Amino acid sequence: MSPKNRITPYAFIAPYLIAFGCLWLIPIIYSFSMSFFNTRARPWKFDMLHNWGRLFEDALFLATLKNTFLIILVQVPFMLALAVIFAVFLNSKLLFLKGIYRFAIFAPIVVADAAYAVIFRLLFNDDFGFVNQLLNAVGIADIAWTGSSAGAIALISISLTWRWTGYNAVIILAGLQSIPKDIYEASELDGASRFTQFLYITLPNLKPVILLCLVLSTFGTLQLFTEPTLLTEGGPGVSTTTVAMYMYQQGFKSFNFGYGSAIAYFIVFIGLGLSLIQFKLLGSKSDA
Amino acid sequence: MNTSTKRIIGALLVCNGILLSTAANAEEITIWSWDTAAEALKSVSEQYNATNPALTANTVTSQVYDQLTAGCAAGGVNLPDVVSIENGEAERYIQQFPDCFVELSQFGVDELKPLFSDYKWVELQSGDNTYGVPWDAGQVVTFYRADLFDKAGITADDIATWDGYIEAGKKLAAATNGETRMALSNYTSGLNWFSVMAQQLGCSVFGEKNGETTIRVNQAGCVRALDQVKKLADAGVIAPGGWSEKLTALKTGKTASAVYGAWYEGSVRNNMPELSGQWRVTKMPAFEEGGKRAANLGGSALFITASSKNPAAAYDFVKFALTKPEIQIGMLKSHGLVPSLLSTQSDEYMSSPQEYWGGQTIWKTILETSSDIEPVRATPYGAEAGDILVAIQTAFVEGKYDSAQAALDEAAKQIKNATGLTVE
Repeated sequence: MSPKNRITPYAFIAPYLIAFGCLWLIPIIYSFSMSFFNTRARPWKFDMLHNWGRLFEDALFLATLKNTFLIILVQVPFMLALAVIFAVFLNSKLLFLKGIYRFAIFAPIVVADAAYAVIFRLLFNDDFGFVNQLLNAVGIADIAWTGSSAGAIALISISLTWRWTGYNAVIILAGLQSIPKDIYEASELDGASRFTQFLYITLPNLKPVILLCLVLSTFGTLQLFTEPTLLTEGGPGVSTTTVAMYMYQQGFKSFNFGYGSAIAYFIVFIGLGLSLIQFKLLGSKSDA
Repeated sequence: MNTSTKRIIGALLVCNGILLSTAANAEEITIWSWDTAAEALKSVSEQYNATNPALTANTVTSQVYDQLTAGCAAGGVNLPDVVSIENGEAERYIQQFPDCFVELSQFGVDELKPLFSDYKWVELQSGDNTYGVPWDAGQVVTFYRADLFDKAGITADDIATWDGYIEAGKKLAAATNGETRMALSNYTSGLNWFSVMAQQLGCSVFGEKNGETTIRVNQAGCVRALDQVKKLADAGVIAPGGWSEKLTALKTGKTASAVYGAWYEGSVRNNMPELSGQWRVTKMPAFEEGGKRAANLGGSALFITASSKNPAAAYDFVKFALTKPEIQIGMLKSHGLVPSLLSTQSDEYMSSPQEYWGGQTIWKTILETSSDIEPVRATPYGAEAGDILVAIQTAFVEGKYDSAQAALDEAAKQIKNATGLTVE
C-alpha cells in the first residue's frame, strides 16, 4: 500500500474524529481532571481527594444513591417481569389484531418525557387529582403522592413502569420470535404443558435479551433525571432525588464543578460494575 | 437536505444575525430579567429611551440563571450588559465567576450607599467589593383572607404570634369542616419559613467570626425555628406546597393566608382579581408577644457584566431604574415590586389606601417592618447547605429525629463536611 493510500482513509474519517475529539474526548478528559480540583472558588486548587474523599462521607449523596438503587432493585425487575408477560401475550397465536396491541403497549415511549410527566403530575395531584378521586370512589382514602416519601417513590415507580414496560416488551418480543419453533414442536410431542414450555424453553432462550434489557434499564436508572425532577422535584426532602439529579445540583446549582464531576464518574463506575455483575450472574450466552 | 435541517440552519443564521446586530451597536444596552420583573424593567427601558435618545435600552425576558451560568463559564460570551439576580443567589456567581461582573466602585457606587438599607447591600458585596445595586425588597408579612377569618371568628391580633397562628388554624379548620388550612409552605422542598423564622430569632445558617465564615445552624434560634415548623405541620395548620400549588390553594379557598415576601402582593392581586376586597395584610407572627415581626425573603439586584461594551452607560441605566423614586413607585403600582429605595417610603402612594386590599394602607404596614430586619450575609454555600437542610427538615417533620437540636447538629455536621467550614 502506498503512503498516500494509508492517509486517505483517515482523511475520510477526520471530520468525525475532529468533532468527536472536540465535543466528546476533550470534555471527558477535562471533566475527569476537574474532579481532582477544589473548585469552590477561583482560582481552582489541585487537591487529589477533596471531591473523591467527600463522596463517601456525604450523607446526601448516599441517600440519593440509595434512592437510585431502590429503583434498580425493585422497579426494574418488576417492570421486566411485566414486559416478559406482555411479550408472551403479544406473541400468542390466539391473539387477533396483534398490530394494535403491539402499538398500544409501545405507545408510551413515543410521548415526550416532559409531556407525560406534566400529565402524570395532574393525574396524581394530592388534592385535585383524578387518581385520588378514583381511589375515593372505591372507598380508599387520599394518597399523598407528592406530599409523602412513600407516595413519591411509588409515583416515580408507577410512571417509569408506564413509560418503559412497552419498550422492553418489544425488545423481548423480538427475542421470542427468534426462538426456533421446532423446539416447541418437539416438546409438544414429549407432552410438555404450556407452562413447562415457558419455564424450560422460553425463559432460558430469552436470557440474553433480558440481560440486554436489564443493562439498558440499569444505565437508564443511573441517569434518571426527568421524571423525579418534573413530578416530585426530588422531594419530599431528598426521598426521590436520584444520583443524576444530585450531580446536577452540585455542578450547576452549587457551582461545585469538581464535586459534580466526581459524582458523574462515580455513576459511570457503578454502571460498569453493575453490568459486569449482571453479565456474570446471567451469562452472556443462552444456556439452551 | 430535509426541511428540519434547513429550519435548524435557518434558526442558527437568525440567531447569529441577532447576536451580530447587538454586538455591532455599542450604543445599545441589553438587560436580562424574568417574569414580572422583566415586564417592569421593559416599561422602565421605554421611559429611559424617551429621555436618553443617544442610548437604547432593551429588556429581554430570559431564563436568567442557566444562560448566565453558561455565558460566564464560557468567559463572558453572549451576555447582556445588565442582568438581574436575586440577592440570595448573587454570592455564588460572584465567588465562582468574579471576572464576569463589573466592580461598581469605579462608577461611584459608594454615593448610593445611604439610599438603601444596610441589609440590602450586605448580600451584594464580596470583601470590600460591591457588585450590584439593590432593587426590590421582600419584607415578610402575613397576607390573609378577611372573609374566611371572619367566618371562623379570627382577628388579625390572634395571629400576632406563631402559637396564635396555630390556634387560629384550628378554629379555621373547625369552621370550614377541615376544608381550609392556614397556609401551604415549601417545607419539604425549600426553607422559606425556616429561614424567615430563624431570621426573626437572629439565627442564620452561616455567620462570621474573626473574618471567617462559620456554621451557626445548630444554635438556639435556628433550633426553635425548626421546632416551630414541625409544630405547625403536626397541627395540620400548614401543608407542603410549591409556588403554583400555593396560588391554586389560595384561589380555591383551600388556604386562607400566606406568610411571604411583600413582592407576593402583585401575584395575589393579579391572579385572584375575583377576591378583590377580601384580602388584608398584617405583620408576620412573632415568637412571643411583643417579639420581632419582621424578616426579609428574596428581593433582587441589578449587576453589570464585564463583557459589556459600555459599562458606564449600563451603570447610568441602573441608576436611572433603581434610584429614582418615581420610577420605583411606578414599578410598585404596576407590578407590586416593593422598592428598597428609602426615599420612596415618604411617597404619598405608600400611605394611600389600596382598593384590592379592602382600602387598607398595606404599604405602610409593610414598610414599617423594614427597619427591624436583621441583615443576613449570603455565602456561596447557600445552595449546598439548602439541599442538606431541606432533607433534614423533611426527615425531622416526619419524626425521624428525637429533637430539633439533634436534627440541626446533624445538619451542621453535614454542612461542615460539605464546605470545610467550622461550626461555631
